[in-house]
Amino acid sequence: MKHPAFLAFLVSLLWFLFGLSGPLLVWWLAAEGVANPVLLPAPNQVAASVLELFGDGSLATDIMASLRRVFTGFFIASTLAVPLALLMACFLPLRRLFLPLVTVLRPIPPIAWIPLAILWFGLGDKPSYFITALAAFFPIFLNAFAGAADVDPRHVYAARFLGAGRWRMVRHIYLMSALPHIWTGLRIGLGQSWMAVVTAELIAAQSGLGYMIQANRINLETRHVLTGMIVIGVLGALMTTALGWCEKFILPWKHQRQ
Amino acid sequence: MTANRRFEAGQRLRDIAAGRLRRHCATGAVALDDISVSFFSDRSVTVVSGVSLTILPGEFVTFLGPSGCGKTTLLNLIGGMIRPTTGKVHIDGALVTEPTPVCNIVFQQHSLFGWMRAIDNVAFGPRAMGHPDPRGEAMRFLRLVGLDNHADAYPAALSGGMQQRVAIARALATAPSVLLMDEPFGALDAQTRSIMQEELLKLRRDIAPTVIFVTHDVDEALLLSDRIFVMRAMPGGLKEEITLDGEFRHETDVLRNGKYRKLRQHILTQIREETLKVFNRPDGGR
Repeated sequence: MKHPAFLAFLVSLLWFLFGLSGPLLVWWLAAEGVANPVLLPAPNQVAASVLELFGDGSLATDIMASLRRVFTGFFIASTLAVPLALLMACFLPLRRLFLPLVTVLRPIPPIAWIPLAILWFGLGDKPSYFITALAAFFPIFLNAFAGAADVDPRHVYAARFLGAGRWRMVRHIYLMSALPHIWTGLRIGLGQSWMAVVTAELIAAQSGLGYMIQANRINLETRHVLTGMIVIGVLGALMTTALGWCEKFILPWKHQRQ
Repeated sequence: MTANRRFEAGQRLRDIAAGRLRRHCATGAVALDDISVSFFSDRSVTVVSGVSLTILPGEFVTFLGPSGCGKTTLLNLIGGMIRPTTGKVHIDGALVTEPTPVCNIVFQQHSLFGWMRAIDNVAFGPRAMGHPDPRGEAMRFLRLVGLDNHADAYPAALSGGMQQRVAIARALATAPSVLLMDEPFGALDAQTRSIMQEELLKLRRDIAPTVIFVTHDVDEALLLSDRIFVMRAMPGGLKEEITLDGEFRHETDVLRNGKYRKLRQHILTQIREETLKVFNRPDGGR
């Protein structure tokens, strides 16, 4: 019975590629029209650039640097945001204490933190960790908080009648009840973090995909810039898809068949 | 009827005292003492007023009335989910201030933990209370409601009737003295509902907590109850007390029973009176 699932996957992949072929054609025609590889290199020139940068190993290094920053920042953000959100949803004094700070900090975009990040952490990995963590924190926190605050009072009462103490209540009722929201937050957070790492590297780093784009812009190597952009797009899409596949392991009760 | 009830009550207390009834029947005495509940700080909306009643250990008591008569409010008071504005609730002599495992509850629907399999829903209570074998205990109660073969299903994969059976198993697994049931079969179709009523009575023969049942279905109340409190509306309270001692429980065809039909008609008239009271208010009773 494995074949139908594999076939369905193959078919959806073909449709996906088919959907991209139109824009690719437009790009190709536009590049022919412009006829200036600095303004708009053609797809085949970019493909050559991809091979070239993979060949000398620089692209792999940049990808690894960016991924490391994203996942470190994302990990820091989720380990802080989820517990904080749950505790704030469960305990009113904590909510009163922290909600004003969160409300004021939230509208500040990660990019506005870059000057401070450089001043505090210098150049390199550390300011990027700070920026990616910051970018992921708020979507994770806000979704987790909304989810935990939205817990069904019947579940809370039922758990209390069943003798649940505070810890069991937070762990098994608030956390689990909020998990679909938290999962949404994590997905958005990872996306935000991935976008923020490029921003951070444009300014505050000496490696990574953002830095690579910036350096090639200065050298007018537009085809390398486009390579960087495409790699960012493809990796971001892969992350989203991978998380989508993980969902049935994280939220198994949403996927059990009747 | 009242005199009869007093006699029955006295007899039952004597039975308990003499150890003639099962031991766990001896807990689950509920006393409401001049309860009233008002909402808003100026107490402008009175939901329930002047309710005093005593429920015996092991008794099956039903609050019956139209919506808005405060029957769920009474249930929530006994469970400690809300506190009375005046008056006190005691269970077995202890003042009720918050939900504790002395009681347990079955809601109308959707109260199972959706992220846990049926067995983990039922094992939640035993686990929380430090039972040495919570899964084994859960399995025992699932078997009791006939769902041991659905132990690994998530609630969403179960039918409405099955979900309520799991909810009942979960509520019984902590051996509560008082089982609160808030229209537990209200969301089920008529066939399932009637089977669930029979199942509940069967369960009660083995495990006999005090049951406090809320419904607006007259037949359901008549079939299940030892005692029915017909509620009045605006403000909510007790209108009439009817003692049955479960006399219609084992009838196969109650509608042919003249006493049943008469009682049923009487209660319907009482409820209609209260419903009209709510209905005829210019503000619709709000």
